[in-house]
Amino acid sequence: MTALSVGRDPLSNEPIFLKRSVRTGRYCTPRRVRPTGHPSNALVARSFASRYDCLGDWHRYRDWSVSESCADVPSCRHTHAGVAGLGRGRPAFARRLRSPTLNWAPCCRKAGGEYVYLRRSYGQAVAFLYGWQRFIVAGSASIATLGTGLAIFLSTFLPLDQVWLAKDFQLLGQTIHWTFGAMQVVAVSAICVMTGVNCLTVMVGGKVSTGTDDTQSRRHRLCRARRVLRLGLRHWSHLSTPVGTAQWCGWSLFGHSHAGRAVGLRWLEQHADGSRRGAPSRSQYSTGAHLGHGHRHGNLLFSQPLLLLRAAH
Amino acid sequence: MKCASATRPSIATLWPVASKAAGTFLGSFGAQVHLVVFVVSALGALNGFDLVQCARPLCHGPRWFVLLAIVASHPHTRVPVACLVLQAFWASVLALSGTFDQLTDCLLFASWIFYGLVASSVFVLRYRLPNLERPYRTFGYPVIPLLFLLVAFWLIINTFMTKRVESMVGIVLMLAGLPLYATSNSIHRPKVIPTQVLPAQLAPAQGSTGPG
Repeated sequence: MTALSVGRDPLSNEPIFLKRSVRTGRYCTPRRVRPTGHPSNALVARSFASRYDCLGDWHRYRDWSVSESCADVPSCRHTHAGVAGLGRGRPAFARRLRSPTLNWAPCCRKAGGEYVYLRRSYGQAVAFLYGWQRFIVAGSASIATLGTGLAIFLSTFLPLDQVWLAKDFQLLGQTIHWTFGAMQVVAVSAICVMTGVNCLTVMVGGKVSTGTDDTQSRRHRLCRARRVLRLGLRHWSHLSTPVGTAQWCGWSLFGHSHAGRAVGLRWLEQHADGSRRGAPSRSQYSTGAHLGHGHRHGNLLFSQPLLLLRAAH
Repeated sequence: MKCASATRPSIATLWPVASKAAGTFLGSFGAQVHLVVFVVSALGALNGFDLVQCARPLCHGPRWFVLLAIVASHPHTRVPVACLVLQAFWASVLALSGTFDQLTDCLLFASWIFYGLVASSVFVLRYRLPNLERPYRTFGYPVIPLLFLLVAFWLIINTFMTKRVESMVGIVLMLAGLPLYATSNSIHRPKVIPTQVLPAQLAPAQGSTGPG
């Protein structure tokens, strides 16, 4: 497991490390942001996080994550900003210490599934073509196929057999029978409606309840459910979106509730020392307490989902 | 056993194959329920594809696409609306241009080329990087990937021979990405992205030396 120091958090002045952790990161950015060891990369990552955080739930590439502290990586202990530190860490601690602040920011160097394999074995052009093909042929044609299939199945209920235009083409010795009728209209409208719903659901998702919680990982949903159960439904603040995470508006069940956020902060301040898990010394790393800085407001804001996740584990 | 679909001739002519099959052992009512279930599941799958597919090129697509996704995303929710709309437009064009079978042929042909390439990269990487640390090794290494490759090759060749037009459309669409690849590499990419950073913020703190 490799950890790279990329700089210091401008708010807390804590060192920020990039870590390759197992099955933890849920976020990534395009290749544009990369850890090169320059201290400004942390800020770049932070500023990019605010622009890319929509990708958080749109991507599921979980290869790289960032933690603000690298305490579990022994050879990283004395590294400063801009110095790359290599070492081995335990995934459990990496999971605990990973910061949601920069989770999605730094890079997806090894993320991408087949893309990575193709790039390593056949070069960048083939990998690019794969990505292109996924969008142009595979992705869009899948959507088109599903829309058409939907229209076919709907045509058994509804009278969709009108054909308004029909033409026959001779292409490469093959006769192509092209038709335009009610089924095509239904297919296209299904595609458009689902696209609109996808835009709208996410737009509304930060404010009202979204029942279609598809993009969240099952673990995350499970954590939230367990969290609710453990709290005994005292309040709903843990479902609100934290302020500091670059206005992450997606998928919170009850959206931005300012009152709830205040309650949640108080709850977090009470529980931020990790007393629920009985590991105060380790869990304090994520809040900066190990640096003698105490619990900082901004850090609490940033690490709220982390604390929730930890409490739920 | 009396075939339920035989009682209604319209089923045999109009209904899709899956519903006909369901009608043989579930009866007419079961087949109708099956149809409803399929409609709902098709909508759900459409939703899932809408969500997932447009995100892929954001990471490893052309850079102008990445830029488009960032620039034209919603200011508050940062949904890549432009990507979604572009994807919906292209999917609508495809849905208007072909039937279900044509679309699946084109889709499968183009996809299986890359499935085969990905599977064959096992051999390439094992040959090129023999000492790489491999946490997971392919089960039944030389035989099973080879079988997969043979099947993929057979599928590609078969589709190309029987569905010439659809596979040519797939190839042309796929190769249309090559000029984009050339242009996307020529876009200048700055090494350090300029941000509004004060030098004082960049300086590491003197007091804290990190954990430990």
